[in-house]
Amino acid sequence: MGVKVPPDSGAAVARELAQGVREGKPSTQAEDLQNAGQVQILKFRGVYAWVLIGALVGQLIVADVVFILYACLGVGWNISQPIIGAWLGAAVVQVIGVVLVVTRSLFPGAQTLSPRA
Amino acid sequence: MFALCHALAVCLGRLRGVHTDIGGEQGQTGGRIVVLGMGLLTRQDQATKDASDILGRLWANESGDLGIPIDVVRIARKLGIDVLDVEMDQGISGAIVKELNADPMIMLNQSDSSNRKRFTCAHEIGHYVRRSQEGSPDYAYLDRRGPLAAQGSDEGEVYANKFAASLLMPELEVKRRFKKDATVVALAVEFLVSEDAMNFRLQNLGLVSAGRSL
Repeated sequence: MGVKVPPDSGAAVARELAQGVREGKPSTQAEDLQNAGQVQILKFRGVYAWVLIGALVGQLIVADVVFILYACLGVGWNISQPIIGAWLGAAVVQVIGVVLVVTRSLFPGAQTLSPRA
Repeated sequence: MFALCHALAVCLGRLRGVHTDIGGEQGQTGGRIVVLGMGLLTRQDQATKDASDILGRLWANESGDLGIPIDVVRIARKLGIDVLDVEMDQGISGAIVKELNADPMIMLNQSDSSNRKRFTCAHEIGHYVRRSQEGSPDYAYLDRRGPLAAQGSDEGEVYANKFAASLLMPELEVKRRFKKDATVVALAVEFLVSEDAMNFRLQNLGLVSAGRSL
């Protein structure tokens, strides 16, 4: 833990803290908003990327499995072309839609900070 | 001329319900009213003006617009202040130390939330600005937590608190957003301050009555 604070010794404790920092007391440069935001975005990009890949792989597997089940247990492999197109097309649209929403909405490219900052 | 200013200051002080004790020169006043040129400013008015000047000089874009939230760490660095996260006692929120022939250093409690650290950093910048105006080459402040810190009667602390609020939550920007029926929570999120700080600011600006929040 850091320095204990006796009453009415603020300036002395502050100087003691500064002295400690100069002598190597663990400290890090405070992050400004832009850097903090970038670090957070990078951190969450990794998390979202893996979650998204998992979700999309799962979605494709489910779409294919259901399609196969539909063929094997349902109406057989004699499936009309429009149904195949609609089914697989819907799966692709869902995949692209999820990716678009996540990348465009969750990771906006423009910074909201002042241009002079 | 000075006597006239003093008389006006006394009247103004009575109107505002504060005591006056004018030392005659800016930076050497023992009381709360400062004579600046032809105008009379309380310490709190002065803090607001200083924060506004800093924002205009170091943060506003070419057209004068302020990007919200205000990045106080960046502003501190533009002022030549080193800002560090440091392990310190839980009873301390931060400190600023300026020693002779050395750059000033703001130390923030690394275990605090980012919003708390932002307010502390703005508060310490307030100390820096005030002492720079006085031309002090060597000083140190330690800021402790607790209700007494917020209600402090020390002139420097009152100035620094007002400065921090004005720097993080500029009056015009708060009022502009407040008109859009924003809630305290929404405003606090937008300005990256705590709900308490925003509520206090809204009360101080007369936008909500004391003891009542949105």
